Amino acid sequence: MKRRDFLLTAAMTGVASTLRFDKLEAALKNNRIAVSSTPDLVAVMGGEPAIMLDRALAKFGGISAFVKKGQTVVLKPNIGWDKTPELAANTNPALVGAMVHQCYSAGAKRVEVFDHTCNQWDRCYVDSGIKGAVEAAGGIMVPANDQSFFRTVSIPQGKKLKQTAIHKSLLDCDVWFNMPILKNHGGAKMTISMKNYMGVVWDREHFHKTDLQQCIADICTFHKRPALNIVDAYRIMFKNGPQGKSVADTALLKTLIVSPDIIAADAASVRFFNQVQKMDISEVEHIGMGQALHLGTDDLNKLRIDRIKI
Amino acid sequence: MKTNGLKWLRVVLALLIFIPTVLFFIDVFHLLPIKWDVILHVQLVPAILDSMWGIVIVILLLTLLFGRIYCSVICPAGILQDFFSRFSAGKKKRRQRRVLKYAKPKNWLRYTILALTVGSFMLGSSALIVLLDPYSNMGRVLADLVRPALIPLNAFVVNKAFAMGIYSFLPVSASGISMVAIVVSSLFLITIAVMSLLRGRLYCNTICPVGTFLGLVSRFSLFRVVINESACTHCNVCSRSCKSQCIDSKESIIDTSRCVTCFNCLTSCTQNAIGYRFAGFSKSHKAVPTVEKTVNTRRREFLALSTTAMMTAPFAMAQSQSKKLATQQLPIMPPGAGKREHFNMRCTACHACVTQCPSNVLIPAVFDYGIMGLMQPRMYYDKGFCQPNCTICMDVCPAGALTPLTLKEKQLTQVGRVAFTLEDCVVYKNHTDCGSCSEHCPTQAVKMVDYKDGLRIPEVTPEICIGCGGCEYACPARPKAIVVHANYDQQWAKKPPKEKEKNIEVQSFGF
Repeated sequence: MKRRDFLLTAAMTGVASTLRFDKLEAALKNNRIAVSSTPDLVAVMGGEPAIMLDRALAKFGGISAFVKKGQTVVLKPNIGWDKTPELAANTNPALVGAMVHQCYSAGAKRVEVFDHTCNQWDRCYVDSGIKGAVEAAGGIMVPANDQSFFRTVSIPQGKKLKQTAIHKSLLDCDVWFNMPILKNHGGAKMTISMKNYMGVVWDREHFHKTDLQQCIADICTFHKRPALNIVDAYRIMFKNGPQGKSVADTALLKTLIVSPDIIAADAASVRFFNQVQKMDISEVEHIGMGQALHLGTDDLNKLRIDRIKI
Repeated sequence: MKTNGLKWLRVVLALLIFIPTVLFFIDVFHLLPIKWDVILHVQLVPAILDSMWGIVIVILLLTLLFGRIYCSVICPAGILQDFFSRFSAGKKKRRQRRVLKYAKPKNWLRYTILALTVGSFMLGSSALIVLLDPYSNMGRVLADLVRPALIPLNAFVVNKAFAMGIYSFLPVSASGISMVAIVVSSLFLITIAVMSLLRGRLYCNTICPVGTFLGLVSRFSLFRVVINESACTHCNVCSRSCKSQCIDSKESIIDTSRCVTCFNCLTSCTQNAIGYRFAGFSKSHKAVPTVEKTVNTRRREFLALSTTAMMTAPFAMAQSQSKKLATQQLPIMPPGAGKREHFNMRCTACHACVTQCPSNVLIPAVFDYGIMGLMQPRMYYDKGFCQPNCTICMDVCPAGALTPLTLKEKQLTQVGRVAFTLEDCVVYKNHTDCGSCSEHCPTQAVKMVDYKDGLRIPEVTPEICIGCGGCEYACPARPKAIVVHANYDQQWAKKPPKEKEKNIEVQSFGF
């Protein structure tokens, strides 16, 4: 070995040893093979939900980078409230419908959609427009209003939440996508990707009485992570959240933020939200707590972000 | 064997009303549309209370024309008694051996119960109607005994289907089980079962105020079962087939006031001496002879009557008890109840609303409304809260106790008001974020405001609260830091200030 080669190798090793493999690990856990050319976060603005979704997924290598033939897929939108789509209390139905369609186009065996709702579940499913959109695309709406649909799992990395019951559909599927809507929240300050996890658990009361912000961060450490966090900001709710009172609480912003990194997705969403209503990211404590649990990074400058305007 | 067309017509019509009524109450799979409730509107007592005079007149006209068709075809408790007598008696031979014979009417008892029921209602107590109306009793038997027993079946089917990836069966959870309703409906069931097995329609002809009332009308019915005296051999066969025990074969007389037009007797007669025909406008073919009563029966009736009076007097007198209770202890009435007195007077506690409430908010009250409102539905926010977009309880109430409101009206109907106790709140006690109450509030009568250290705490505006109970249900603290106190009478909530829509645009992503 020539001296030059030796020095080069030594330097390379030194550089390599400073590299962190969190992202690779997260990506592997996400059922996704990291391709160097894919971005960490994609933000799209100015189109209809289905079109924005298509553009964003394309940046990640298309839906087939996440969904393989014959797989069972779960989508977890926010369907918490018995509200119509223009009130922005639930994830946009066109977006959820388009995602169901995407999954089937990648050869998914079945696509299931559920949320443990706050209002009467069947009314939420119907009035949100999500049941209609999902079933039109061939997806299956799964109820989540009964404890028997949930199975207790342990959360080894949780600080305060050590175990909880999670919906069987999510536990048994091959891959799942987190599809929150961007909203303000009276208790948690914001409800985006991390807070959306509360719809996969049975006992929400435990979260509220234990330490809401820490429990939200804890549940996100559950080993089965979403392949992507697809934040619907087509119409956002910027005040009186999470339920809202009228259309006056909403703003039509036609945006979509997508990332496999749940912290990055939420951090970017808060900054986007901050343009409409002041919201400091430090106020949304569960994001910082999630970062402390190595769920991702809120340092957007370190990430490769693709911004698309339609 | 002669065919008995009238009897079969009666049976078919009865099943056409009985089966849908039963299904409405016990439909744990929610397979039936809510509109199915129209079947409840053919019942007499709810129709009277709801001032549905058209239905009342039709029932009275039917009775005047054909006799007590209501008791044989429409009343679900009557039909259940027929089931008892038919199927519990076992084989046909044994059934024929069952001794039913003519019995004298227990006039004193039945008219006194009717008078007490009507009288106490006039004086402002619905207690006797609640306890004696056969439809409402049947409703409770189905809602409080049969339905809860079917809920495990629902759970079984739903879970089996779920395991197979079929999600079309809707799970329902058990609504609050009320001991008092279970006891009262069990007592009713046992009473009519024993009475119908031993003495046919004894309940209908002694205790039931509806039966007695219709009996007053059916005395004059134009069509009735009559005996052709010249052909009658006084063989007693018809008497034995009569579940109302109202055919006096010796005298060839039928007591039309007790006849429920079941037509069982028509084919029993070997002489063709008995038939159902137009009998004109006379009061009765031949007056029922007033047989001198023995001292023994008189005493027995007196005892029965005085016991009844003693048991029911407190109900009749307890009508205004609820007024004395402090507002905090008052039960919250379902939306559409309006004024408390109106609701307590109209509701017969049939529990149609309790079975249909999709969020299990309604439970039968014990003595919360005072003795008079025993088993009437109240709101209870332990297992659920009133859904802002739902009007089902009002839609199904057959008695007009709950006035059907439009969705807009319902969303402004204040059944109670929110009350917040800071010292019990999770944010105050644990110094962590919560906001569960505000999250569930549809009007933002509970709003999160800045507290300290970046935390937010609830602030309440009771004027705009509608009392849905979302906050109370969702509050994780024990004792609950936020509860709803009943309004004595329901009021209109203040409309929250209307906020103007702003046109908001953003040009960049902000990151």
